[in-house]
Amino acid sequence: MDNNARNRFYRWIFVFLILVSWEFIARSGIFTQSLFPSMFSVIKRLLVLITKEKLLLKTAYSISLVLLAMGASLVISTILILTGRKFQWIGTNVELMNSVASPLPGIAILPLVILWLGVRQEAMFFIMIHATLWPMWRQLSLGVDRLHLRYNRFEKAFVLSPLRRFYHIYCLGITEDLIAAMSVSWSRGWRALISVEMIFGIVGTQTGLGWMIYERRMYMDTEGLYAGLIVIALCGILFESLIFKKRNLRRMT
Amino acid sequence: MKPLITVTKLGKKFGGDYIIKDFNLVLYENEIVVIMGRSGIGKSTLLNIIGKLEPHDTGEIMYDDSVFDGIGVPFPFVFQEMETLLPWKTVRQNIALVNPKASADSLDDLIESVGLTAHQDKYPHELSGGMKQRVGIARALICASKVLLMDEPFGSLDREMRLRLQELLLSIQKKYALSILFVTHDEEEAKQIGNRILTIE
Repeated sequence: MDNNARNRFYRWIFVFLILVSWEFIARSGIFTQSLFPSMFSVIKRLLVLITKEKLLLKTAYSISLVLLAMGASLVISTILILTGRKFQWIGTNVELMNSVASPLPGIAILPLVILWLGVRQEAMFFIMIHATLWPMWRQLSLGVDRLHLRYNRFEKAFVLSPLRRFYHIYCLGITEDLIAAMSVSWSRGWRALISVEMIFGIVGTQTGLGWMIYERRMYMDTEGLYAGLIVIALCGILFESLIFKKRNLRRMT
Repeated sequence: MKPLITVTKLGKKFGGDYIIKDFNLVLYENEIVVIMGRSGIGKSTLLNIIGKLEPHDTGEIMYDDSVFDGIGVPFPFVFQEMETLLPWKTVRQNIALVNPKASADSLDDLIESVGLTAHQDKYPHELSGGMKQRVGIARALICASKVLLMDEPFGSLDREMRLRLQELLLSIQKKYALSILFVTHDEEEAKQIGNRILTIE
């Protein structure tokens, strides 16, 4: 068995042990069913939420918000990096903004954002961009610096047009950094979104996964609450471990 | 013989002191001039200045009897650092990148000249050090310049590979009637390939 297969096997064993432990604790009577339902009842509830209460639609809506915010953050990051390299004073100030804004969780600035923008989709989007922008900018910025350091002499010695340089060196060369940036950005954005949805509730015509989980609590639907958390975890695994997985792009280094 | 590069009393300061002073050089058509000296003496700086990658403080550099004030640089470079090849492009793509106007035939011819026809679809990480340097040479040649600037291109290779690439360089220089400014700290290499040797002290 090779290393990858062995690691996958260990992961499945670990998941199996967790499920078995869960079921054991649920049936042991240590906690009441309303606090710690059995895994079977959670899965049953999950299937009902999928088939009857549009869980997949709500999840897709939440994911689309994060992806939209990431797209906007990618555009903003690109503009900040390009202008920052062209004008040093912009670059310096963006660094300063990153130092100040990046440590601030989206939920901390939420009251301020609500004051400015109200309880609307624009406010949600603002928080989402705040959560996804800074890790995206930081990773891409480091990537651009690395490429510039490595290819500066080549760029000067072989005079490529600005567009060719931008595309062939920086756009193509930044792939690994972009994947890393998207992974961190997704992670921060996903966490921020779930929290924001719990607070904003119904904004517009569609609700998301965060609000669905919050509603389950209000209806004392503990199985549904756990089911929602499982969906959050599965989305995390899907995006972080599969879609934005670190690839062995040997030819990119 | 026509001078392609004429350097007169070239000077370069660093931190107030001259690191290069009163340097003179003439590069004629169809010859290899080797600039030799110990490590750290300023050979690469000299080449960078002649290649317009760095400014100079005193003196004059004439290219083909006129001062170069065009955009970019007058001549292509071959570097020692093989990391300047783009890892996400094949051999052929790396070479074609610097001259998009080059025809497919001229590209084929050039790749064959450096002995990389069988490897043209490989990526840099699949090549040996010697092969990467051959890509570097081809990348400079595709610019269709009569002058090449080579900054210790074989410095990081083993002796056997260096000898093979020196032979390749000599055959290419003869084939394309090139003029080459070649920087090295290796006396044996200088004697092997140079028509004239300038020693910096």
